[in-house]
Amino acid sequence: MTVYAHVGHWLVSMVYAAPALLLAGALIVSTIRQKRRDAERRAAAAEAGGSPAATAPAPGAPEPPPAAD
Amino acid sequence: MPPLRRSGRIAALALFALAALPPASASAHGLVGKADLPVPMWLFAWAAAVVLIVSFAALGLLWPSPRLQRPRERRLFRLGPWVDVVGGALGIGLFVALVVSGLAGTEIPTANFAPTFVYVAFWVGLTVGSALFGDLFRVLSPWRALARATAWAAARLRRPGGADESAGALPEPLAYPRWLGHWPAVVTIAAFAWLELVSVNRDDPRLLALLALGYAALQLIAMSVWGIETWSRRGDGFAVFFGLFAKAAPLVRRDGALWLRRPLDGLPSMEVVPGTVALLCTMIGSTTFDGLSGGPLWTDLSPHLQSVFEDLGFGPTAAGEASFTIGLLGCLLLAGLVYRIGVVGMRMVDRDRSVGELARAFAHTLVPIALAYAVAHYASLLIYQGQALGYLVSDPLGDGSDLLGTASWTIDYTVISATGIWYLQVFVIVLGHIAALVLAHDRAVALFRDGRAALRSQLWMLAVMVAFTCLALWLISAANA
Repeated sequence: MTVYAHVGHWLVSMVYAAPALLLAGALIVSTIRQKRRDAERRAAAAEAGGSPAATAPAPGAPEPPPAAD
Repeated sequence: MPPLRRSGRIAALALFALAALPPASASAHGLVGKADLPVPMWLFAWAAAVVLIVSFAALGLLWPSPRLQRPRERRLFRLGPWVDVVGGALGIGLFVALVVSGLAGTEIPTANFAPTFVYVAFWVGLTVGSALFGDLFRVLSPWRALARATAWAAARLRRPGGADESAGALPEPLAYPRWLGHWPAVVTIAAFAWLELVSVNRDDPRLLALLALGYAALQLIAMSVWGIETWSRRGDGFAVFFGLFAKAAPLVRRDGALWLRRPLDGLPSMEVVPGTVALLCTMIGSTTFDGLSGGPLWTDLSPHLQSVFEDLGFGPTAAGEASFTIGLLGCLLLAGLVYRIGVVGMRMVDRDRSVGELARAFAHTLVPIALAYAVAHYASLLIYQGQALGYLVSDPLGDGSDLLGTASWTIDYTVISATGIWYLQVFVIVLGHIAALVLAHDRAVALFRDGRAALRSQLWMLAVMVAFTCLALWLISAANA
């Protein structure tokens, strides 16, 4: 089929799409990692017996004071 | 499957589908030679992507709050109703010239005024003119001028002391259905794209004249039903089409005066109604297909597709048109799909808003992209074939007349080189996509309030912009290859 006879030509020209593919790949990888981190945080919170909201500090929240002796 | 992962997969699939598109020739209409470039063409796509990414980072650092959501305008001078009268008369004159030359002129498309006027002066020239000088078509529209003149005459006849004083007042127009929105405009622009890119009779002067007459009649009927201004803003495909580009212009006519504003300032306040997003995707998708249809992929694929339709009983011409129709529809869907990826990606950051809400909120960012696609794609056509109007106005029927003494003019192909055209196209594409990025960022910081969330949401729009940029450069590169 003529279409396949031009595959080499297409592949060479696909270099145009590389920036979009790289960016999409980076976005997808970061999304998956974020998802995994969220899942791990939820699992750790469940093990500790509290909700993630109760155990994890809010972003930018001040450090908790040291426990009194 | 969790929505986050599903969205990611949809995004990956669609972006890989975009990447799998083979190269295409620049333009079915392009008249360009071979550009002499110091670096490979694909490097321009990479450089453009880098420019967009750097622009994105700079926006994140230097643009923390919305700046474009409220337009800043400065009144220049008064523009009275005479502009409508003069512009309307000019529009009606050009419309008559189109119809007469189409019906009474030669059948040779290049020697007849009608095809060059429709495809170059009207379609491309008015697009560029609208983006530079504002809503020119609103002033020039022959059917709007005719309808307004009729309404004015009818009102004068019916007022006390008029010739037809006894007659009742004109009936009030019907309320325009909200759900109809811009959908009539979508149908018009898709039909025009079909005529231009699919129909084998696209250059037939007689057909163009008849279609122009039919369209004008439809507009007059619709204006009488829903009102002149309402229909012009919503249903008249060409008025809506040019009106969208005019939103990006630094000039606007309002309240009987001409106002100066920053370029793009009119876009954030753009009214988005049902069908607006579809219209913008139709504009981008049809230009994409124009590029694709002249390239090696389509040259390879279309005979196979055509043979499928021939096996179904279609004649050779109908089968060819059917296969091109499939290609056109595919490109329209592709443009819509790429935009949807950006919106679905954004929704990962903001679950409170629906995909539809976000799609409408960012719809205005597609206008500079559609403009960049159109200008880059048709630049050579406008620059070279636009010169043909110089001799066609002197001999509109192609019968050897010389009305203005310019019939002997010719097209000067040295006015700009192929390399110059290439650089112009790259500049326009990059500029259009940076403008889209700026608009999207400004809307995001206005919508999300939290700067970090705004930036995260725009990563997906950045991917969309880069994808559209690479696709555009891919399309125009093949003509120079």
